[in-house]
This record gives sequence, C-alpha cells and structure tokens, in this order.
Amino acid sequence: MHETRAEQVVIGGTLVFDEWRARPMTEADVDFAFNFLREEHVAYARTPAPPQNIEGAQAWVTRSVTTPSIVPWVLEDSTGAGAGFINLQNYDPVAGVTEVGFLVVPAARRRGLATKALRAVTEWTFRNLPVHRVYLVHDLTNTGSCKAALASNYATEGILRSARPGPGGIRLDSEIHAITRADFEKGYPIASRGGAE
Amino acid sequence: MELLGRRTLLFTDIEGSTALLQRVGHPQFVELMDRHHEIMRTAIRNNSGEEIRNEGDGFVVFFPDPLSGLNCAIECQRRLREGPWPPEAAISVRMGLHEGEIGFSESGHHGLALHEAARVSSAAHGGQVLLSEAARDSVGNLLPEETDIDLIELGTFPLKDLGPRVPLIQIAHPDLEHDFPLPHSSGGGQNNLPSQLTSLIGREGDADDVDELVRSHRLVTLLGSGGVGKTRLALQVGANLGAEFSDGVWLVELAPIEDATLIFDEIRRAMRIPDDGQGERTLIDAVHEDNVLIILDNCEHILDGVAEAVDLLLRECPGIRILATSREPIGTPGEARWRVPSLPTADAVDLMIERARLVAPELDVSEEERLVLNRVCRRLDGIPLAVELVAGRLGTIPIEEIESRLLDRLRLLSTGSRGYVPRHKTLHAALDWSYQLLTADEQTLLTRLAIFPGPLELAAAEAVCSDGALDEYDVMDLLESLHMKSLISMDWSRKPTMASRSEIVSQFAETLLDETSDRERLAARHADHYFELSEEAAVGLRRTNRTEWLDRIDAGRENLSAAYDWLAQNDPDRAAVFLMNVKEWLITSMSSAWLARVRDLAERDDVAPKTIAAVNALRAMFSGFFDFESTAIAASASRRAYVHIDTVVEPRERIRVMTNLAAGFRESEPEIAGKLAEQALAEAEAFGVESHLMATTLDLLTVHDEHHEMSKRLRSSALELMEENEEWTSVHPLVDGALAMHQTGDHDQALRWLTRAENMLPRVPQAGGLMTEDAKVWMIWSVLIRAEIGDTDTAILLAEDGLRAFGDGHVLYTKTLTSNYGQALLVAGRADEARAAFESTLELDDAEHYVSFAIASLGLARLDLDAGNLSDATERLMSIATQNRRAWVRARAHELLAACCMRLQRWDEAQTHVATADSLRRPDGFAVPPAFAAEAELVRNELEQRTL
Repeated sequence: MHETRAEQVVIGGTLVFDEWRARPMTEADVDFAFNFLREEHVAYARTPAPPQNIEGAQAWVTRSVTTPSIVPWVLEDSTGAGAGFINLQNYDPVAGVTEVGFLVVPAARRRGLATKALRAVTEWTFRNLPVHRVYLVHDLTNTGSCKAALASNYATEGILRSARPGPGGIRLDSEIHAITRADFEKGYPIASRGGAE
Repeated sequence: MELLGRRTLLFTDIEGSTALLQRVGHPQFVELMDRHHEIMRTAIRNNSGEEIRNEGDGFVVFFPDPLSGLNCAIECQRRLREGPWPPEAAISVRMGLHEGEIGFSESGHHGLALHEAARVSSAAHGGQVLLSEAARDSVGNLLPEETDIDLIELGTFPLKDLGPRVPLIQIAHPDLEHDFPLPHSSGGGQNNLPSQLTSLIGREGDADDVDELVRSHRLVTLLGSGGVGKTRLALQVGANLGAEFSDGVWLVELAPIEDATLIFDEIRRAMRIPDDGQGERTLIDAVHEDNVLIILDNCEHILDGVAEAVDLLLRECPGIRILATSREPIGTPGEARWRVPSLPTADAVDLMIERARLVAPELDVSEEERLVLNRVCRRLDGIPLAVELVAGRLGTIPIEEIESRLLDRLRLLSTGSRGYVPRHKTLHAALDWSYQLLTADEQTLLTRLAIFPGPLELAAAEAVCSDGALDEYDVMDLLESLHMKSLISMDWSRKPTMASRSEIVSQFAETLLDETSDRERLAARHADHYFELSEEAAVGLRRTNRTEWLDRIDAGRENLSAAYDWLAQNDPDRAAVFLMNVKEWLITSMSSAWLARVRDLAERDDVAPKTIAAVNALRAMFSGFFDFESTAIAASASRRAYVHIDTVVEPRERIRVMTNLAAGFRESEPEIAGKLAEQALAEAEAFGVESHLMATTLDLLTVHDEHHEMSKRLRSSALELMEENEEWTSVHPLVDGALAMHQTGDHDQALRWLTRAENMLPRVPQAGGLMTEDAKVWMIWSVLIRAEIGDTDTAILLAEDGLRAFGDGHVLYTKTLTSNYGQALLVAGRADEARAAFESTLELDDAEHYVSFAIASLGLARLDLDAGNLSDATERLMSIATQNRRAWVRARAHELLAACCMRLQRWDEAQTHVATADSLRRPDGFAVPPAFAAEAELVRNELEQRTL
C-alpha cells in the first residue's frame, strides 16, 4: 500500500439508486455500526475481532468520519434501515488513487445492493474527486465481492498472495480489481474473468 | 433310521477362528488350519477315534469307550500346545466330551446327544476340555488307580437346550492348562449386570415366579416400596434368564435420569450401541430383530416417559422383553404387575445374621437373641434394606440394645392408637437409626456424598468431600466403614474402585445435605474435581489405555454431566475447556444429550469471546463427524469461532481451537482449513509439549486427503511420536497411513499398520452387532487393501461381516464399504455381484466427492471393458480422467482408457494414456495395486511390441 496524502476530510454526497441509498456516515451511526460489525457474516469477513462493547464501535465510527483518507457512507433501504457500509479508503489525492470497500448485511445480499452501491460510489468518485484509479481488494474466496466488482467494470488485475492477516495468525490471499478513469469514461463492460460463474 | 446305541462323543472347536482369519489373512489361515487338522487327526488315530464330521474349525469324533475319548482329548490339547505356531497365531481349541444315544440314517448321524455335546464344548474355553455328567459317570469307573488325570467339578451352569443347571466337569492333567475363567454359560448374549457379591436370601421362590412371568409376558413390572429389594430381585431374574436371551440382558439404571427424553439414550448407552444421531430410531433400528431382556431399574420418577418408551419398544421390536422396577405401575397395556413382598420374618432373620457375619464372621446368635431379632425384623416389616442396615451393627452393638433403640425410634413414628407405622416411615426410621449410629465423620461423609448423582471413584470422594472438618486421608476408611454398614456399596472389581448407593440411600442423603448449607460449596468442588479429571482424560484418551479411560468416563458419566452443567452455569469458560478435554469420549460415545450441551453453550452470547471460539469450533468439528446439524449451521458455527479465534491466547487452548476449527472448515472453506491446520501445527511444535503435539497431529490428519503434502508430514510425525512413546495411540493415522502405503506400493507395511490399528480397537462387546466409528473405518479400508492385494477371501468375508454389522446407520460408511466389497468381488471374478455393489454405491448423494465413487466408477468401467462394452467404459473413464481431483484415481482411469484403446487398435492414443497415467503416478509414487498389476503390465508390454 502506498502512503496516503489526504489532508482534508471529504464528505460524500447522498447517492440514491433504486430502492436504496447511500448517505455519509456520521458519529450518530454507532449503534448500527456496533450491531453490524458483530453480525456473524460481517465479522467473519473482517480481520480484527468485532468490537466487544459500544466504545469499540464508537472508536471505529469516529476514526471513519475523521480520517481524511476515508470517505464513509451508510447504506440504507427505503425504510431507512441500515443495510451496510461502503467507503473509500487509502484515498490519495496526490497520487490520484483510492481504494473502495464495502460490506452488506446478509439480509440485503443477493439483491444487487453491493453492485448498485459500488457503481454509484464509483461514479461519484470519478465525478467529484481527483482520482484516476479506484481499486478493490477482496478475499480470494469471497465470490460475492468478486461478482460485484466484475459487474461494475472493475478489471481483475491479479492475486495478492498472503495479503491479509486472517484470524488465528494465518495469512489469506486476496484478489485485486481496479477501474481507471479511461475505463469509466468508455462506459461499457471491459471486465472479464476466465472461469467465473 | 438305524440306532447305533450309546457312544462317547468328542466335540472340538477352534476358539476365535474368525478373528484369527482377520488377523493373519487367508493364505496363512489355510496353513494354520492344515496344521490343526493334522494334529487332531494324529491324536484321533492314536486313540481309535472315528471322525464323523469336520466343520472347518472343529471335529466330531466317536469313540468305542469313554477312556479313549478322554485320552484323545488330552493328547490333542498336548499336541496343540506344543505347536509350533507362528507368533500371535497359536491355535486354541475348546473341547467337550459327552455320551449318549446316537442314530444313523442316509442324511447322517442324529441324536440329541450330538447337540448336547456341542453345547458342552461351546461352554469350554480354548485349551480346556469339559465333560458332561454322563461322560464323567461312565469314565469315572474306568480311570486306573494311578493316574495323572483328575476330574474337577466346576459346578452347574445353564446351558441352552440342556436345562437350567447342568454340571460341568473339567479334565485336569499335567499336560493341560488348568486356569480358566468360568465356563461360557449357555449360548445366551452378553449382559451388563453387576456381579452379585451377596447371596439372595428368602427370594428363591420369588425369583422363580418372576422368571415364569417374564417368560409369559413382554412387560413385567416389579412393584414395591423403597428398600424392599426390587432391584436385587430383578438382577437375579436377569441372571437366571440370561441363557434365554440370545442378544443379552441389559440393566438400564434410570434413577439418575431426570429428563424423560433421555430414556432411549440411556438404554442405547447401556446396550453399548453407538449413537448415530437418529434419536430413538438408533436404538430401535439396532435392536428391532434382537432377542433381549431390558431391565429398567427405578422408573417411578419418570413414569410417563417410561410408558411411552416401553410402548414404542414393544410395538417395534417383537423380540424385546422388559422387566421394570418401580414404586408405581407403568400403566402400559399388557403390563404384568408383580408386587415384591416383604421377607417373611424367619427369612429376614436369616438375612440379618448372614449379612452381619460378613462384617463380624465370629458372630454367634443364641436362641434367645434369635427371638429378639425376630421381633426386630417383624418391626422392620421384613424390608430387606432395613434389615441389612441393622445387620451392619449386629457385631458391635448388643442385640438387646439394638431392639430398644430401634423400637424407640419406631414408636415415635407410629400414628394412631394401633401403633401402625407406614412402610416408608419404617425404612426411613431404619435409615435414620443407622445414620445416628454413625460417627460424626461418617455422618458428614455420607451427607456430602449426596453431591455425587451417580457412582463415583473413591478418589473423587476424597477430593470433593474432605476439608478442615474431614481429613482427606480418613475418607477411604470412612467409605469402607459405610460399605460395611450397607449404606454404600463398593465395587472392587472395577479399576479404579467405584462406590455407589441404592436409590433410597441417595434420597436420604439428599435430604441430609439439604439441611446443611454445604451444597453450593460442594457442587463447586465437585465441578472442580471433574474438571481436573477431564484434564487428565484429555491426555489419557489419546494413549494406549484409551479404552480404560473411555470406560472410566462412562462409569462416571452422571458426575461428569452434573459437573459440566454446573460449570456451564457458573463458569462457562471452563465448561468449554471441559468439552474440549473429553472430545475423544464425545466422539466415540456421543449421546444426543451431550451434543445438545455443545449446541447450547455455542449459542450463548453471555460468554467470553474465547469461549465462543472454543465451543463453536467444537460444534463445527462435530458437524463434520456426525452430520448432526445442517451444513449451514455448521458453517455459521465455524465463522463464529473464526471471528473470535484471536481472543484465545492460552497456547494449549488456542492450538486445540484452531485444530477443531480446521476440521470444521474442511468442507466449507478448505483453503482456510489448510492454513489453520498449518498454523495449529506450527504453534503446537513451538509449544513443545509432546501430548499436545500428538493430539494436534492426530486431529489434523482428519482434515486432509491421504496424499496431501501436509498429511504425509502429519502422519510421519504421528508415527514418530508413536514409535518414540508407546503410550500414544490412534487408529485413524494408522488406517489412513495404511491406505497411503498401499497406494504407494508398500503393501506389507500397509498390512502391518492395519494389524496395529486393529489391536487398538476397543474390545467391548457390542450389542446388535454394531461397531464403533474406529472399527468401521478400520474395516472399510481393510477390505479395500486386502481386495487390491488379491486376498479376496479375507476381504469378502470381512466386508460381509461389516455390511451386516453396519446396519442402516451411517450411509456414507455403508456405501464406502459396499464399493470396497465390489472391488473384492471384481478381483475375485464375481462380475455380476461386483456390478450390483458398485451400482448401489453410486446411489449415494454427492457421491462424486468420495473415494467410493472413484472405486465404483472405475470398477464399472472395468466390468464394461471386460464385457466388450467399450463405448460405455470410455465415456465413464473420460469423465473420471478429466474431473476427479485425486491423482491416483485419474491414473487408474487413464490406464483403463489405454486398455480400451488397445481393443480398438488405437495404439497412439493408448500410448498417450499410459504416459499420462505414469506422469500422474510419478510425483506421489502411486503404484498399480497388485491385483491389477499383471493386467497393466500386459498393456504396457503389448504397446511396447507394437511401437517397436
């Protein structure tokens, strides 16, 4: 990972897509964050153990909304119920590069939320930030994230061996996808991946 | 039919011939049989015997006179002893000598005497010669004055078809072995009845009555108040009728059970039937054709549950009979109720004096004193337990004093003007009286023992009950003293010695404990003690004395349950460690009740993250073993454990959690499973404690395919540890290793490992022919290996035994054994049967994941090929060659494809397949199994000639 040089906190816009919307995260989102991070499938997908108490969740939210290299959104359904998070991280305006990451509650999966959110945030990023490349890293075994990336025009770039510390001190392999401004402006699917379902 | 008249008959039979066959394999077995026959026939010739029948492992011989028969038996045994036999393959023969009328017709020899002789011989042990009464009577007069032969009366025994009590006589001679266990009584089944160390007094007639009742009714309930002797009577009836139940008599102790849903579980456990997670069906499927007597002891507290269970069992299992003891009738239709009477006073006095003499052998009772005892026994209503309680004091307290003290106490209890005392109060008075006479220390100990819900080891009493007030070193003496006073009973035949109480005394002690404020403190110490025991067991269960540990835990299971439940309530972190400690026991004798405990703890949120990790890893692991929960639940438990794994920091716990989790992830996340396994092994090596390294190594072996690089490392590490330290033992790596050895061409080593694994299998008799997990695994791969090295006779015999014994239980096991059976049939040239076996294997869901699928598909292709059906064969083989993930399977497919191509004269293609097969075999050194080697060689030779 390269050094990030964001200095100012960026607040993302509210993005609406179909029955969902992404709104910028605030300090008040701590309860949702607490429950969300402790949710079994979410906890499983992240490396650090879930926060054991509300203070731990508060620290996570505060860090997300105050770190200049992070631009966090909360995903909500039409009733305003939380459905997940998506954020830019390792945002580096000098290098013109950012990473994007997302997590969705199980109830909202298989309904295209991840793909729609990723497309919306990707578009917002190219339109609003001095960014030429957005990349996305997922566990090699996480087929859901992989599908969302491919469906959002993120090309597969390769395997990052032992990229992520997993629980128990083991190292997990990741896959990296990215979309460039040129890809984005061409506006048609370029992503492909041999053998993917 | 022609009557031949009276003849002396000798019956012989090799002890354990099937086991011997399994041990040495078919070729050596045949050699051993030849040698046996030669020895027997020489002796028969030397003693003018006439060989009437030879049934493979036994002879039937007639003699002109009884003395020749006797001499022949002695000569046979002497020659058999001399051998020589190969190590571990000595043949041991049991013999029975009898005399009786024999007839002859075209179909052979007839006569009841033949059957009787067979029964006498089957009562003998290997190396022993038994005589019937008839044989003894006629030979007795013929023995010369000066002889080395001695005839020893062994007593009378129930022998099937020969009546309830038949005298048996053993031949003693300097050339023969002479120390044998008691003769095998009857052809009846096994039992789990405790041996009765004291005689049954005043109940002989009652026992006969109940015997008859059980013969004529399928459900008999012995009714009576506490202490009247229902249990003792039921045990006697069970022992009397043992011979009549070919599948055994089983005592099921229901008193410790509080939850009626566990009745089936308890019966299943008592009958040593492994759990396959099907609840009551497990039991019913296992026994529905059996001829068994089940004794349900102490039903009164869960009558409704018992009624349901009994009803279902009687309906579904026509051969079952049930003898229950209860204070209240069960209330099921068809129930025969028999009220156990109090002892008549005279018998009660006899009982009292006999029991008293166990403690005070010198006790002398004058006529006058006998009259006093008469009065005492009448006041005690002839309740045997009350009588026994008093008996314990007879040697130490003057008889008159006993009367006055006891009568005082009873007078206090009497209600109404006629001095009537209800029976339960009489008993309570006797108990109370007995209790008041105890020393203060004895009273304290008896009270504290109430914290143990079931039989306990003496060391447990020392650890839990001693404190400032009760010296640890006194506990042993106090226990003996309580035993002498009939308040507890010690079973010295168990190692370690166990103490238990009758249900009445337990309840009495319970009320005493309730009057103290000690319960919580004792419960905590009880839990501590069994937690410590579980820590010892964690190591012990991995060692050569594993079976002893399994038995030991099983014997103390009520205490383990209580201790665990206390921990789950008060100290869930230790509860989780406890479960990990006894994991091996849970795997071998898993009961639904314990599975439920794992599940309940795994679902709790109010426990430390490290405990969430530990229990969920365990739950995931068990799901892999037993399919006891859906894969979705198993996967979710794995994830729950994984998320919290870093909160487990204590190295031993951490290693175990990671190991269990690796097993849990095996199906859903093989990649993570592999990495966790690596990490666990690395940490175990770094931790450096041999026992943990061994446990980790063994457990991880279940995570991998037999040829995975890591498996090889684990196996050699396990083997190294097992070589270095003879205490470590496990069946799995040996069987797994044997399979790998076999596949890489080291067949001798494979067979040695199988034998070694077999020697580790538990030797507990198993009801319903069901086998343990370990035994099944051993059998499945023994069949395949023996089939593929060409020992098809042994393989087929083993497989047929196994298919009978596996029953309808675990489908995957049955199908895998079926595919291996097919392989044996295929090699033996029994094509049609082989095809049927293979086709049945493929019916399994998700068959393609398993080795059995490969064996069956390859086998079917080979059958197609042999039948000239090349297109079917090719199609099947192409799909295996391209899709199967096991290299050795693909190699075999390519070899068969080569054979197909040869038939079609497509030499180039054949060459390519052979080359592919070779390249698949090379990296792991896979060899062509001997049974197919000649054929593979043929293909290669012909190809070579073609290409020259």
